[in-house]
Amino acid sequence: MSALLELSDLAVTYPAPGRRSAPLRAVDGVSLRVEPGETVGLVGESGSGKSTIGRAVLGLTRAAEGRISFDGADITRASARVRRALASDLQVVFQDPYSSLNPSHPVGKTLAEPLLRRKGTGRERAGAEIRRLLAAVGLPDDAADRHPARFSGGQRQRVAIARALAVSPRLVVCDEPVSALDVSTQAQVINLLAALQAELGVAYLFIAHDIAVVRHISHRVVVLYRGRVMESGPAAEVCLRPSHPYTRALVAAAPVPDPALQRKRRQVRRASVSTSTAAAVAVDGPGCPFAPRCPHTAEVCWSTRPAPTTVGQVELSCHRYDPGSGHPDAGAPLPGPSPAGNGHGRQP
Amino acid sequence: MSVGVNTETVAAAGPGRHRRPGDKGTGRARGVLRRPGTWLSLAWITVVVLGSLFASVLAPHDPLDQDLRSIYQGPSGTYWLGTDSLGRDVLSRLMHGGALSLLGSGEAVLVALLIGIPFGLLAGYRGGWADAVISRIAEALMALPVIIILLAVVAVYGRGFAVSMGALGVIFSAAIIRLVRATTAAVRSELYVDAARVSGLRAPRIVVRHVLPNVIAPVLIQSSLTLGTALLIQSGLGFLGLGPQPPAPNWGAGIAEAATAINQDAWLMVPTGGVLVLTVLAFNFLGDALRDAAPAGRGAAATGRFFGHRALPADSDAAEPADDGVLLRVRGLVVSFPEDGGGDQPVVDGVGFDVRPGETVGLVGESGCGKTVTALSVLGLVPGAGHVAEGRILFDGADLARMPEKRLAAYRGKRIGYIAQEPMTALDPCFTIGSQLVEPLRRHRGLDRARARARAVELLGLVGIPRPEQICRAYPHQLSGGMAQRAAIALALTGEPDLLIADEPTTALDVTVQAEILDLLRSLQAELGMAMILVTHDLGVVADICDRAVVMYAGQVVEEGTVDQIFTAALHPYTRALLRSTPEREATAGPLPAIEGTVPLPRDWPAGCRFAARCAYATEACSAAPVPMLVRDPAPGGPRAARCIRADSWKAVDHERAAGAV
Repeated sequence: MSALLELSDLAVTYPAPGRRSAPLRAVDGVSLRVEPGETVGLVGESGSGKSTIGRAVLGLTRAAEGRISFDGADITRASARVRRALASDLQVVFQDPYSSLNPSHPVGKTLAEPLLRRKGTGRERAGAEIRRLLAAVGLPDDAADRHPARFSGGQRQRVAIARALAVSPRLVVCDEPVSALDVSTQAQVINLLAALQAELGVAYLFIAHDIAVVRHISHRVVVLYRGRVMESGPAAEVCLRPSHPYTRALVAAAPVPDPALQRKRRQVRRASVSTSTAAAVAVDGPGCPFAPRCPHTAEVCWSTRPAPTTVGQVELSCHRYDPGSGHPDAGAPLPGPSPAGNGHGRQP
Repeated sequence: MSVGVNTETVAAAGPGRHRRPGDKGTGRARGVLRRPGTWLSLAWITVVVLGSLFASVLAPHDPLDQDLRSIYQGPSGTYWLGTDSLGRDVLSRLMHGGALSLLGSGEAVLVALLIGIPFGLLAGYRGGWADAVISRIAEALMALPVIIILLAVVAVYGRGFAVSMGALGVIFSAAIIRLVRATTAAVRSELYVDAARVSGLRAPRIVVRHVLPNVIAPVLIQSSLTLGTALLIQSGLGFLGLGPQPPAPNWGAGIAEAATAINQDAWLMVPTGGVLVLTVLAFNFLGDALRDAAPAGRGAAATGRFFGHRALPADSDAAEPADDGVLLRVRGLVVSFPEDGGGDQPVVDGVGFDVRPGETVGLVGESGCGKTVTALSVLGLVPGAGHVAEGRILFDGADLARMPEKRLAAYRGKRIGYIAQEPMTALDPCFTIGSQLVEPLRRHRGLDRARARARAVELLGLVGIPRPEQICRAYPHQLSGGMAQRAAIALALTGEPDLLIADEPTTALDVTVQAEILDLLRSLQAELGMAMILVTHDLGVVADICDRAVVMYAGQVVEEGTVDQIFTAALHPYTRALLRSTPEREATAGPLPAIEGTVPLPRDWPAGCRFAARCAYATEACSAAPVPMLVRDPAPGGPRAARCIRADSWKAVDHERAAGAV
């Protein structure tokens, strides 16, 4: 069965400042699959290229290399006409609910935009559809006549979700949809997304920097660092028993609301990195991008780009886990305690 | 709407208020209309336009009618504005000439708009080659010498304004192109335009629906100013005799005639020159008024403008014992913001807490609960038009709320440091990091330049910045977010403060950087012994770094205690619900236990418990009367208290059930 969305060796470059410098590779050889009805989480620090991947899938940024296919069709360099046809299958929810809704349009007008584009949808049908959508995302009927300024951040994000779902898409790219929200509102929006998925069978490409949020909503997780995939696999596996040194550092750094547990985790966190982010100098060499911050480096890490290795259910790009890499400790378990979490991911 | 408040209060004031969406704009427009400059300009333009268009009906005389017996006359009953060298009525000539002048200027502006708007939209929306070509052409047009081009046009096509004003319009279109291009490019980067593209809208439709409405206001302003300029240039051509052939009247030629006759009849210059000056002025006034009336961007409303500190009047019983080892004691703090309809609306309502030396206190709660306003009021920096209305802020025995601005300023930066959420707001982009650190070191600590420089390098090293000498010479934009926050912390430490107020210091940072900043704050505290107030909505951060937590809801403190007490045995249902809704804590699959609903706005605060509407355990008694803080354990290090009628009996009720889910 073919995947709903498949990226193979996707690269996105931005022109670097300076006439002669090589272009910046924001996304560098990323491959991933999203199956129908599945949520795949993309997680990483700022600059990891996670949002760029989302924008490339949506056609808002041009891919430099590689291939993006949707439902078996190559859409890497899709024409404007193909993109417009794709709009009914592929939608988006952005992070900033303040800039993603036109402040001068009432909510009803924003929601009508994708609806009226479809053939045969009259104003009356659209009106009924808008009421149905508002109810689905938990907003009152009269919300349609109000402007975005009248809504709180969480309510605006509901409007943005309603707009994305208006055309019954098969994949929604969620670009940090809850990052700007308070914790209680965040929970409401996550629950809404999960409930809508159960009801409609929509798939999500869920981009976030918060690994706990990603773990909660995703079936599978892809961890990115500097445009490359570090680790990918089932959400519970990757987030609760992280293998890659970078995933470990990421998991250990996320604070948990439990003072006793947090005191223990601080020790783990300090052991998970070799140097502070401020002191780590980015290297543009051929090696592993995480090497400057990794406490487990060997010579091979600086000289050779790690190849993906499958360990159990997860796929890792780390010389430590690749017996053929020539890393002196390859194959041996990582020293130190694993930054174990205290929950479970969703089961696919 | 209270303008110039920070994002949190804007968010609190924005939704649910009983105003129509256009209110802010129309209110501003009304204010602008009330200015005498605006309505005088409008009135004058109306008079000129009507007078010119209906000149054939309204003019008292024929503009060409000569009365050689009464030349160069002053104003009189027959000739209201006098007569010229041939005894023609000046008023009638102005009125008839006005039609020509206004139509000519109008033509120039119309041509400029017809060329400028489409090309500007194309350049701004498409970008790339279209933008490069159109922008270069616009720049070339702007470099053309206007009068020389017009002289050439007149030489080729003959006198008469129709062609020359059209040419002027082409030249003016460059300014419109640039304006429309810039506005379009700004709107183009808004996420709602991206969303419309993803929705499959075609480019022309996106431009009409989303871009054009944003372009109209600046174009209107520019048009009004351009009309004035066109009128001036056209009169210049008339003055040079390049307008229509005499005796047909035009304003420029009238001024030329008055200039030649200035020795015989100085008065003639007054009406002919005056009407031009007044009309051009009116157009410029109108342009300014339109600019002021145009709705400002969201950014302007969201930036905190500080109106300065308003001290409360001194009172007699201010002397409270300050020797119980408390560094900061806040009691009964009420911070109010003026309402639209007059009167004050409190947004912080009777807040009290203590901070001891060396202690870290977390102010926790959702957006709109008043935690930032509380923290800022300690510094005397209540945003916008807000002010401390009641209460005491005793810092080391002195009441900051009753201290005049001048004395309070000496506390800021020196004894009380401040770190903002966005490090870039604390750093001036025009100065190097080093010079920004040196200045307060010299002022607060009285160091000489060399010693201050050495201390700045030392401070940057202290906050974990590698190669501090190098960073000293760097400008803020050259630093990453984490590095900039470290530099901002170094800046806050220059005064060696006793109390550091950190407002969401790590919210904008990556988790890995956040962990490092929290480690840094912890080690600095151990080293320097300063106390800290940490404002945050992230319970994980509170658990990581705070000793005590003060939970706020709807302007009140609802619970306080040590972090261990708050996180393991929360007394208030709000604290517990907040804890349960964090995905880190959620142990099982399935929906997160979210708190339904939202924080009530200050104007909707109920009389009883403010959380009752969202509380799973609320009873009628909860809403009956205001709930006081129930002190469960008046510990010497700070009380254990909660604002819940069942705070005392939770164990007996269903505390266990709720705790079991946590």
